[in-house]
Amino acid sequence: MDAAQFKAEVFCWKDLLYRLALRLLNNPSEAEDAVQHTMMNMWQRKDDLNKIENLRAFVIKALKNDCVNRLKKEKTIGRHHGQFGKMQSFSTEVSNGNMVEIIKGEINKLPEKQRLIMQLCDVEGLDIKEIAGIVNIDEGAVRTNLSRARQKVKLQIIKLQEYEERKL
Amino acid sequence: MKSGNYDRLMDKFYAGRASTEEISILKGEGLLDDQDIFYAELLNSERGQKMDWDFEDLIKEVPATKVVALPARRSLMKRIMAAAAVVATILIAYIFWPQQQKQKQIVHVPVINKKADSGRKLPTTPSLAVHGVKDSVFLSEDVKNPAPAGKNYAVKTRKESGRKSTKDAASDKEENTMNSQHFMVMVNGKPVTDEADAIQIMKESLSMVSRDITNTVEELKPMGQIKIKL
Repeated sequence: MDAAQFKAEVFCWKDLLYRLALRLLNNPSEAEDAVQHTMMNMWQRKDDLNKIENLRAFVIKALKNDCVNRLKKEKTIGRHHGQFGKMQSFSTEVSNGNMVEIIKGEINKLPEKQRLIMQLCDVEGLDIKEIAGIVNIDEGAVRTNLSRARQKVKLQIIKLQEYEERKL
Repeated sequence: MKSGNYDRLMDKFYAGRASTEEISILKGEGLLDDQDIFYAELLNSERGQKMDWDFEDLIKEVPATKVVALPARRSLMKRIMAAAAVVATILIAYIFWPQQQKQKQIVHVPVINKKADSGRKLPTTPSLAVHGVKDSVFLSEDVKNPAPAGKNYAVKTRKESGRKSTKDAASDKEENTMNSQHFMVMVNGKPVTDEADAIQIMKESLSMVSRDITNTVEELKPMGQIKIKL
């Protein structure tokens, strides 16, 4: 695979990968690192990439593994929970009208698998079959995880809206 | 419409790809709330996130981390060296392996009860130099091994299983007593059948041996006087 082909077929997914890494790691600089690392690896293996059928799924899988390793290694989960621990009380945040950020925070609190599936399906628009291949679970399980994640987020939105209404 | 189709429509909606018609269908079915619309808007804002990184940046970073392959000549030399090392190892193993095996070799001797009878032929030359003991009257002649007796004895070599039958034991005992009764002393192949003569010859020969031992001890006595100073 030459540079032009690599750019067109692999590098074009960098924004998708960045968003996914950001969702999983919840840290912009670390997400950038993960994407760069994944891209470097892909570049070094560019001669083997021609054999792969679904390059997008392959790259996403590689990034997911990288992120999971980072989470394990650097215990980002702990930091991540610490960071959002401040947001436990809605009062201060909602008063500032920062509802979107709170919901994003709630999404980041979802289990890793649900977050990943939700991101890939709802944000990136991948179909269930492809997601099942990336996450290594069957399509039914993907659908279940997705609906649970949506339900949780929806509940949080309802809670916030109720709080706002009560306040008014 | 089937529930699977609604699921697909919902997915489309959240992914921001649903048309206004599809959204109205979902609303009509009561599947969309205000919360869903809020959530969809939130997701839409997520899609706007981009990474500020170009392909040129990647290419710039690559040479620093790229694994540099060794020149062809060097790699050839490495291969030759590796092959030589392998050959040397095999040679060393070939040379030293048999020696090690020899050292480790253990000879397993089968447990055999050998019974040698008097019929066995012994070397004709005496193990002791008889000419050195000429003072003995009886042994002035060359001592020869006794010739096989009237019976034709064969050396029995057989594996015996632990116990012996009572019949075998009795026959062996009988055989031994017969042998001892034939003759007691033989001189120059001739058996001395007379008991008194035989005793006399035995006495003389034993006294000769004891005399020799006494002489040897006498000669060795000066050794006790040697003093070693350290």
